[in-house]
Order: sequence, then C-alpha cells, then structure tokens
Amino acid sequence: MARTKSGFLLAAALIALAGCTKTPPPDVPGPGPDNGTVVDNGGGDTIRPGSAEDFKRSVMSDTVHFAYDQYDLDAQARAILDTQAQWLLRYPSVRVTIEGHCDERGTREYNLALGDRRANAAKNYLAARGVAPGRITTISYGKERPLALSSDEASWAQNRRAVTIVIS
Amino acid sequence: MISRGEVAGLAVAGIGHAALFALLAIGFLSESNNRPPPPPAMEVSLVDKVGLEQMAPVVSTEPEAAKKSELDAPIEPEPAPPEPDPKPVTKPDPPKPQPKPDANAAERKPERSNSRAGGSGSGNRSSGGLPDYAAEFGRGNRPNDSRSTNPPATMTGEAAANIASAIIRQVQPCANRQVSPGPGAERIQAVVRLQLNRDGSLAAPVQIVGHNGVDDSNERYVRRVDDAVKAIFASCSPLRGLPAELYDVTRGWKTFRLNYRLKG
Amino acid sequence: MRKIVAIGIAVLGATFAHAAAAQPVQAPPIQVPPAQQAGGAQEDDELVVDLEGGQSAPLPIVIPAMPTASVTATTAGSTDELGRKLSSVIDDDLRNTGLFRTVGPNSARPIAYSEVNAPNYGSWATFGAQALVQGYVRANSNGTLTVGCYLYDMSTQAELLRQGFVVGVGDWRRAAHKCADAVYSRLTGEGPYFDSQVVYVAERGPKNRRIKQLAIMDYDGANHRFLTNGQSIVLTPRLSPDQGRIVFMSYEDDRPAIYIYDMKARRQRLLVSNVNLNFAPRFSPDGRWVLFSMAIAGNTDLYRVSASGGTPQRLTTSPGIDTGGSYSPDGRRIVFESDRSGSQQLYVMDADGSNQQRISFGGGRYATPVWSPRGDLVAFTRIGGGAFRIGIMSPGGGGERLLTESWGDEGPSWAPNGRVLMFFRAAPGSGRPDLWSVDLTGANARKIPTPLDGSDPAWGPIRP
Repeated sequence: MARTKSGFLLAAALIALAGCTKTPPPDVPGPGPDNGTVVDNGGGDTIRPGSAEDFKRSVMSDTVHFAYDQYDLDAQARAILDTQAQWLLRYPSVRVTIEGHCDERGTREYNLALGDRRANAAKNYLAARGVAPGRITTISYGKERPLALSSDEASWAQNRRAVTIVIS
Repeated sequence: MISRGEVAGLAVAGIGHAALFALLAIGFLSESNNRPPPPPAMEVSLVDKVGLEQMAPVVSTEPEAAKKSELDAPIEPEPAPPEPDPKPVTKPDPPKPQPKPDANAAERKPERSNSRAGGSGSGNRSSGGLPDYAAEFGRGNRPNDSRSTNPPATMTGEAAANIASAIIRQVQPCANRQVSPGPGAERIQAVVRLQLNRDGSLAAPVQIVGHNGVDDSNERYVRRVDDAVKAIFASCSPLRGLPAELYDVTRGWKTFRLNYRLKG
Repeated sequence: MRKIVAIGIAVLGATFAHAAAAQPVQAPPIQVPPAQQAGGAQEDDELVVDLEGGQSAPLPIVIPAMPTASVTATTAGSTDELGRKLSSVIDDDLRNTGLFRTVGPNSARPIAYSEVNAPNYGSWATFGAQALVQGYVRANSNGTLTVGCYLYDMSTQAELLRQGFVVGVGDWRRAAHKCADAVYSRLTGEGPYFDSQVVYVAERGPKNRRIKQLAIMDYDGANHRFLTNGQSIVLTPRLSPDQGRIVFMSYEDDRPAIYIYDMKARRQRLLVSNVNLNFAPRFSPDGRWVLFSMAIAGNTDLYRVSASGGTPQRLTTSPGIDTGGSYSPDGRRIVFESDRSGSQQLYVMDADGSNQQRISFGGGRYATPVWSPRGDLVAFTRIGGGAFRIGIMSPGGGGERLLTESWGDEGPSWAPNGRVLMFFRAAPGSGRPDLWSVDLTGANARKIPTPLDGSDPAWGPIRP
C-alpha cells in the first residue's frame, strides 16, 4: 500500500517534471468546448457546434449498414452509433431523424416495414446509450431513395442503411 | 553537458509524458473503452428480432395433404369407350316394315339413283311413287352391292367400330379446328344425341344431353364445348359412306350417341 | 358514374325491318345419369361414338367497321368515323387477349347497314374466320350514341348474341369495350374485363430521386390522367369498389401515411393519424373498410379502419412484419404476407384476424398476395433465384405456378374477371418499371402503354 502510494507520488512528480524539460509538450487535442466558442480548423470555414455539419464531421459516420433482409447492428454499426450517441449526449437539445432504407431486391411494402425496423434498430441503440428517445424520430423510405444506382451487390449493400440526420 | 541523473530523469519524464499523452489520447477518442462492454441483454430486449434464428415460428401444423390445391378437382373417371358389342347376336332383327315418311323416301331416291348396284337391275327409279320396299330391303348405298336380298342386317361389334371410324374420320378435321376456350376445358365431355337422315345429313339439330368432367374450375367453358359440337356437325356434314342397311337397325346410325371432348 | 344503358332485343329488333333468324330450340342439357356414364355396361340400344379434337390456338374472328344508317356529326367525330373507331377498339381488345386472331376494320371489307343483322357469311369465307362481329352506330339527338353489337357463329351461321348500348358521345370507347366484353365472354366463357380502369403510379426521373404521381386510365391506356403533381412520393394506390375513391400512401409533409382521394371532389384527406408509419392500404370488397399496415416502434402489423376514418382495429400481433393483405371476394378472409417464420411467406386468416394459417411452402419467399375476384386463386410476387416473378396458387396453398420469367416482376393485380393479371416489370440497372399484363396461363405477356414509367397498378372493377 505504501509502495503504491509512493509510486503514485513518484509518477505525479515525474509528470510534473515533464513540464520542466526543454522540449515543448506535443499538442494534445482536447475535448470540444461545451459552449459556443468557435473551432478554427485552419481552413477558414466555421462550423457551429451542435449543427448538422458539426455532427457529420464529428462522428465516425452518419450511416450504418445492414445485411440483406436484416436489421441487426453489427460491430461496425455499433461503433458508429456509439460516436453518434456521444455527440448527441454532448448536445442534448439537438433532435434527429433516422431514415431507414432498403435495397431494390425487396417488394415495395415489405421494404417500407423493413426500413422502419432498421431506423428503429438504430434509434433503440442510441436510446440505450442514453439519448432520450423523444429526440429521435424515424422515417422509412423503403426502397424509394437508393444511394447507389447499379443493380449489383456493391450498390445494394450501400443502400441497406439507416441515416441519422440532424434536424435542428 | 547532461548529467546521468538528468538523462535518467528525462527518460522517465519522457516515458511518463508518453504515457500521459497516450492516456489522454485514448480517453479522448473513445471513452467507452473505460466502460464495461455493452450488456447483450439490452440489445435483445429493445430490438425484437435480431436475425434468422429466432423464436419458434407460428407455423400451421396442418398436414401438408390438407393443403391440397382447390384446383386438383377430382377428375371424373373417364367413361370407357363404348365396346363394340362382343356378344354374338342371337336373334336377328325382324325385318322392319318400311313405312317411311315421304321425306325419307324422297332422300332415298337420289341415293338409289346414285348407287350403281352392279347387275342387280333394280329398276326402281320411279320419281315419286312408293319405294319398292321388298327390293330395297337389304340394299345399301354402297356401290357394287350385287345382292338382291339380304338377311336383316345387325349391328355387330365390328360393324359398329367401322361406322364409328367412318364418322370420326369425316368429322375429325372439323373437330380439330375447335378452339379451346381455356385451361381445363379439355376435361369436359359433352354427351350428344345425333339424328341423321339416310343421306348422312342431320335430321334434327344436334342435341346436347349431358356433360361429364365438369367442375368449378371449368364449368364456365361448358357452353363453348357445346358450341364446338354444333360447329363440328354444321361444318362436316353430311356424313357419307355409312352402310344403308345399318341405318335404322337396333344400334343403327340413324340416331346415336356421340361423346365429344376438346383435345387434351 | 353514368351507367351504360344496355338496351334489349325488342328495341334493336325495331331498328331492322326483318326479324333475326330464330335460334333452333335445344333440349335443355341434363347431366347424364350415372348408370349411363360407365362405358363398360353400354346401353343396349344405341351406337356410341367417341370423338376428341380441338386446338389451343387463337380463334379467328372478323370485325368489319360498324356502319351507320345516316352519317351524323358528333363531338367525337362523324358516325361513320366512329363506326370504324368502335370496331378498332373491339379488334384491339380481342386481339390483345392473345385468344383471338382478328381481321379488323382495316382489313375487312366494309359492310352495308342492311347486313348488320343479316350477315353475308359466304363473303367472309376466305378469312377462315369462325366468328363474325358486326354492329352499327347511331347518334341520338340528346348527345348520346346507340351502338348495336351482334356476334355470329360462322360454322352454324347462327346469331350468338345481340346487345345494344347507349352512351354519352364522349364515352364511345366504353360502348366498344362493352361490345367486346360481350363477344369475349360468349366466345371464351370468361367474365368481362375490358370496360374497366386501372389506377397506378406514374414515374419519371433519376433512380435515386424518382418523381411519382397518382394516375388513372382505361385498362388499355386510353383516357389517361394524372391525379397528383409529384411533389410527394405516392405509393400503392387502390380503387374503391364503387370507383369513387382511391386510397393510397403519400409522403406528404415527410410523414408517410394513408390518404383517400375523392374522385368527384378531386380532394384527398388523411385517413389515419400520421404519427406512426402507415401504408399498404386496400378497400374491403364492400368498400366500407380499409385494410392497412402500421409500423409502431419497429413492428408492423395489419389493421383495419372504417373507410370514413376512426380508430383502427388491430388484426395481427406477431413480432414479424405482417403486411400486404388482400380480402377474399366475399370479404370473410384475408391473405397477407408475414416474415414471422423467418422469411416472407403467405398466410390466410379470417377477416377478424383469427385462424392465421401459413399457405406458402414452395421454397421461395412470397409477397404482395392478391385474392382473385373470382375467389379461386391468389397471385403473388415470388422472390428467389435472383429474380422476382409473378405466380399463382390456390388459397389453400397448393397448385403453385409461376407465370412470368424476368428479373423484376412485382405487384400483381387481377383483372375483374380473374383471368388476366397486371403487374410492373423493372429492368436491372435503370430500375425503370413499366406496366405489363399476362394471361393466367402464363401466355401473352405484354406491355401496357403509359405516358411515363409505371408501377403499383391496381385494376378496378367492371364499370356499370
């Protein structure tokens, strides 16, 4: 116990010592500020925190994808939604819509239902991460709004998706 | 000049610095690493169906046989084709009197005048008088009939088969032209009564007396099958070459039954 | 909607000086008593001949132009022009069934007015026709037309039917369809279907941003009109049984929900609150209910609601997607699709939601079921082997048969006589759909002409 304590003190001291070296500490990006200070990315554009653009830049992706005829979230999807949840928790007043989409290899009405399942799968995951469900509306577009236009597996995989869109 | 202590301190400081940097960087990028992994139970409870493997399906437990298609209507057992009568005829038909109506007499006249009865010398070419029954008895409308008197003709099985063939041969082309109105119409059999004159023309309109093989799925086509029968005998008429002596005997071709079906 | 007046034989008879030839009187057909059916124990008093013969080929038929007793001008053209146009429509209707080989008004010689009910059979012999359609047209003083319609059998030289129709001049095509329907029914045994309309979604634009409009047209593509302007996505319309309303789904205000469009008022109203996604609407056979699907928190079930609005009643409760849904013609049962078993399959239930039984076991995935108006079959989209195909099966589930073979055939809809199906066919790549129809036998798949692309067809009933 005493050894850990002294070890801790030693570590703290050494860390404090680090400030005395001649080399300047590397620039460590910290968490974004909660208030309205502007983050200058050096390119000259300004993005308001809590905005849709901020969302898109901040999260891993605004879109998760699904396997054919499925609506369960794989590890990649969960990772993406985790970053979305983080951001949403940071901006509690922001509301989003999650759109559920399908590929063209399903019939029209079933795809409306499947798109709704996908949107709700993403919504439920975010809610489980602490995002208040009242902030999230869902809408299904079935197969009506594909992203990729070819009739092949690559395009279909892109079209099976749930997209989170900041609406305020 | 850097002292050994300073080097050691710098090294430790560098490592500590790096450790701090690493800790902060990881902490910034993914706070969840510090959290326990998400409990799988929560995912399942919020999303009803996760994949193909799921709760027992609510499937009908009816045996497969119970789902027999409504279209698989039982097919009427096809009536066996009429057997040519195998029994030897034991009693000859009595000679039939010939009180034929005038129409028949009139029609028989052209037949008689057409038939080249070899050396029979039947001189009954009267143009309106009573037919000579005695001479006509047994006389056929076939050429080269040299017999002057015959025992009463009987419809043997073989004769019936020949007559049936002769009729079928003549009407087959007209039958083949009849268009099937729809799927299942070929299962319908129309039972028809035909009445012929001696010259093979229709003595009365074709009479549909019944049907076999009709079910819910083909009932709508019955009328067209009847139309086909009428069209056949309107187009392929008169029926020629039928033996006159078997015209009005028992089971003769004066009035007979025909079963007709569209080609299956 | 104005009913076409079918006028009786007596009125037509007055038009012509001489009466029509009398039909020979037939003994009413009777079922042969069982004793006579078995061929073995042959009745001992008659010769029996067995004849079999026929062909599966189109029936040759001649349709000369309809003459007019006196040439009169109308808002739809002069009566002699109308006579030719009427016969053309009849010609097209019959030929496009795939069941008739027609010689129409452009190839058949003109007929004299006096021939209409006294055909010159011999003059048509060269065509080898088995049937002859003749008629006449007359303009009445009140802005209507009278169209006479006669059908003759060329072999028996008998008149098979005569009917007359009175229509507004603007509805002249309907008179032709009514005549063609009478001829078609008499010569095939099927019910009529030409005098009907189809509602569908007219589409255009890039694949990721299609512009979709509600549209209605005659079944053959004539009299086409758009009903919405394309600003919102519209999907899956259905015509009410009384043909006065269209129920459909719209993304208006980004809230996809079901609306009812009133044809007379040319106005739509929201049917069910659009808080939840509701879609896939259809009318019950009596027009009083709308069966539809609603998705709540990721679960879709079947509901029904009064067609005048109200509280929806829930019919299915499975955790799977239950959607589609189509009433039997007697309104007592519903066929629908559900993936509760793990893949889309067809189920039948009573109209109150009880007795749900799976009926599809064919190894594919089955969707979009529609119950035939004559109750004997269910049509569907079958997904499997990389293709979408239209198929039929009995409502009990047996007798599955696929009717089309293409990459993306979807969404069948029955003609009013249950003999023909309309559906939409999409091409791979462009994904652009067109409306097609096909006969129940799988024959005669043909494209329906539409001004733009087309999808989600719904065939309406025979017009009165």
